[in-house]
Amino acid sequence: MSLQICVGEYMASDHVGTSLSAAWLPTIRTERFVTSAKDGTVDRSPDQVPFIDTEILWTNPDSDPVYTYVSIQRAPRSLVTSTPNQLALMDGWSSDIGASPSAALPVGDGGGNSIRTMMVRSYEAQIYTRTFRDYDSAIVYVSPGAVDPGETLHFRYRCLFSTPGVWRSPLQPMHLAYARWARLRLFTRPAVTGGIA
Amino acid sequence: MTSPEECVDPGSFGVDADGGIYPLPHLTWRKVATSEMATIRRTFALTGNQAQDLATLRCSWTNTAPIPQRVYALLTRGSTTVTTCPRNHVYIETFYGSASGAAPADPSAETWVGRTGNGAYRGVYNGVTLQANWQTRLGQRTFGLGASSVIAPGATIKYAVRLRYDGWQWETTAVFGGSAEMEMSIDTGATQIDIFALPEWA
Repeated sequence: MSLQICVGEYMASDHVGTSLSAAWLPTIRTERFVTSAKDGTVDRSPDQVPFIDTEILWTNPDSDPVYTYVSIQRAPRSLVTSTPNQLALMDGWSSDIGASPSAALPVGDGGGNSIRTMMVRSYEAQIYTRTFRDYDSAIVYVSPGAVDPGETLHFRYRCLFSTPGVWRSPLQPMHLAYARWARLRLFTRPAVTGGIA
Repeated sequence: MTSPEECVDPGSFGVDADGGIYPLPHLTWRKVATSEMATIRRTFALTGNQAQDLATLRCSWTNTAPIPQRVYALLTRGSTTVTTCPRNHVYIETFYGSASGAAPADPSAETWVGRTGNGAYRGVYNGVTLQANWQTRLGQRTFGLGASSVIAPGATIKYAVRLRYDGWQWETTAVFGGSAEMEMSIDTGATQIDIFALPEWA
């Protein structure tokens, strides 16, 4: 039997022993790996169509607050289009923290990858074109904020396909979009004095 | 319970008002400073070489801990859109700089760390340049700014990030159909610097 001592934040002490608490340790709490549901040939899509849609629900089980940190890794992406049509794979994320959080539906609002070529003007005859663009895998880090003991983080991520702007039916069109996959990791670290979310 | 006040290492633990011991904040990984600027949207003339600095973002942190801290910075760049018309090659460049010490001067951002842009050209036919308007957008991404630094107690580290527009036009032959529906524009995306600190054991 060990001596129980009086401890403050980020410590635990009982008859078994005295230690740092779980909330003190920077760690990965959970991960998500999600594949795209709609890769391949695409067509005109003025409205955003989800290719990847995932979420994290995580409740702080410890007795101290933690700062959350989410890494969003997107797979290599590929887009192929024909003049003058724009293809876009937009990324959107949102978060909410509380007793019963509900993150808003993420919208693309301009973020993500897209290509467009306009080889002829809108009043000229269509021509045959192909434009290929491959984007390498990329990570972006997001800081949703502090999660108190017993509170829950709700984090949502979506990859959304759309075709913003004008659309003309090309000659022998080729329109392809590949979002492939995304991987989310939830990191936490102690919400100590002097640190920020 | 036993009061720990007299038997803990004051370099590792503090004792709070209730007599409870806690690990000192500077002994863990933490984000210590952040700075952000909004996207910049500009439209440029269809002809002529053009280059300009768009903005500089700064972020700094002073080590208030009693021991040195290992410090690094991450840059998160928002989605970057570049739209060009023929005979132009256009790109957004990112530069950074850092300075540290007791009272460092604001660094200038001269080290080149990022570039994204495009250009398309189909040549001249019957004396006029063929049209090719081209737009690309690169998604959000986070990457490191240079090496990490050891910052002594009381010392400060400052980071600066500069966004620059640069364009290269190599010929001035008229474009078939003139300037109708042509565009030269940029949307840089938001820019954020985050500074992180870790304990440094000398």
